[in-house]
Amino acid sequence: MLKELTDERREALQEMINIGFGRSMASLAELLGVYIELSVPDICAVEGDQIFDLLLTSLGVPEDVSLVRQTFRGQFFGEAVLALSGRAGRELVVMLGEDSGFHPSLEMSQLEMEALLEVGNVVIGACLGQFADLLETNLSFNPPVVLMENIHSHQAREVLSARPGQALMIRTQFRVDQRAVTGFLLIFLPLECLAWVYRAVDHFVEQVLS
Amino acid sequence: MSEEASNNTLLSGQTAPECAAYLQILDTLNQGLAVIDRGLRVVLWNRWMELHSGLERSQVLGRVITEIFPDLSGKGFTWKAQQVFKLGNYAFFSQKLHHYLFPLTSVQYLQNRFERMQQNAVLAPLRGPDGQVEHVCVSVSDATDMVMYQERLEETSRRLEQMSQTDHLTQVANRRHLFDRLSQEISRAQRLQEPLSLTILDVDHFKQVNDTHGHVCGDQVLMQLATLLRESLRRYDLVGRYGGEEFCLVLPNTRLDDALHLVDRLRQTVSEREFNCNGGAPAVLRITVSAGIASSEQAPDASADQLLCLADEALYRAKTTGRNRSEVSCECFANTYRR
Repeated sequence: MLKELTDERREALQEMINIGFGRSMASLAELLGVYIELSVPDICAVEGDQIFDLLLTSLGVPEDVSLVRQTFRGQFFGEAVLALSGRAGRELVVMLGEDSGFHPSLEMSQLEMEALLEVGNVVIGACLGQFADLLETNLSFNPPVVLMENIHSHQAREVLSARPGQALMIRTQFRVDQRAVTGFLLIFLPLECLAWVYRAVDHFVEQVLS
Repeated sequence: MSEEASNNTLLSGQTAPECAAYLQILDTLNQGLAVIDRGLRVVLWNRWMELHSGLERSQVLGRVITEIFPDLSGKGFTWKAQQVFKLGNYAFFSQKLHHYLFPLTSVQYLQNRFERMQQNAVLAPLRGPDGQVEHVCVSVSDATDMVMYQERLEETSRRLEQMSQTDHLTQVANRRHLFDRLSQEISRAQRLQEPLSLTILDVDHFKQVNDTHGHVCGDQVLMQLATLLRESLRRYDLVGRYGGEEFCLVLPNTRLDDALHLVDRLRQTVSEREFNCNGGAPAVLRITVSAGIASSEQAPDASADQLLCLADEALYRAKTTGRNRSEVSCECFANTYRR
């Protein structure tokens, strides 16, 4: 199925995700009060057991890592991970403030988790939602899961270990404007749903060309 | 029900019997469902919500949900609802962070310490014919039982973890935990370039205590000695039972000289202390201890095993040169562990 990822399809996918990011940017800025910067994504095939090492090299091997993982399903399905360097939660708590339900009465570690969950959920939901919209479909999302850990811990590796087999990975650099929050947004699409995705991408290209 | 259906655009395009059927189905769910429009006004309120909130449909339909439940604003409800309207994504209120979304009374009577029903809630987009999000569906599930189970599980796992690390008799660290902590402390000391000292302490002529006063008395001596050691050390030092009557002291950020002073003082305290046995024939006895001390200053690259060997060698010398004394590990041995 990955063989069918022709250069044309790869480019089209890249473009569609980029459009999706662009469309979600304004709403995200309005909701979060900051600009989120997302780079043009790269798309490649990965093996389940490579994901952890891939992320490690992407992030430049920091001590701590903050991960938000969320599964989504619809006509296509998969998993998205927002992986941020260091204790990004602290910065996000300050960024979000009390309107979003961030009360100083909560413990810091709880606030950090909450901020990560919120930002992860909204960024993943917005980007994938817009992408799905271009593919003329809707997605449902499961509650996100958060992990703040030392990257070398057993748990970090466990969270990022997939079942054997290949998947399509869409990787984008993520940065919050004027905040020390950087990382990656990774979207994994398992082989089983790629036939549908390719058909929808082809359909999109045809429509654009006609 | 039919009034509800006709009052909003949620079920527009459906026939009346269809609407009635859908709404009946929603009323059978063991889950709360509330639907709100862009003005956060309630347009649907299922039976579960009626029963648990004590508010009937007629009392909530058409009213702004954050006015009915002012608590919602403080939990960021409006912000999340806006997310869903704007982005068409899903928003979540997890029990772990919020405990509950709606202030509902917990119906569970037995085995429950929560006044409020613990809840997980999801905000999901409902789209109109043109694909725009017109309503948000709030679904609420009772998580009280799950939370109770989870708490019990966590408590059990905490207890098991503690048991697996503690010596049953003396309640100090057991040999395995001692070794794990020593390894961790060595890595930490190496990373921070701090000194670390290790002491093995052995009760002199302990066999005589057992032979004269019995094993029950011997056990009591070990328990009292362990308590004395634990209470004499700093919070971040570790006492562990290394063997029968042998204890280890892991002393982070401690130079060899300081460790020697500390151990000499401890030896003195032990020798002056009266140990009480009250099993069988009551007895008051005195004991002495010998100690071998090793430090990472002598062997900066030594592993936990190697440092234990060094301290053990020093202990052996303390025993053979008269007991009730402390010896420091020999430089010549320590040198073999230098890189």
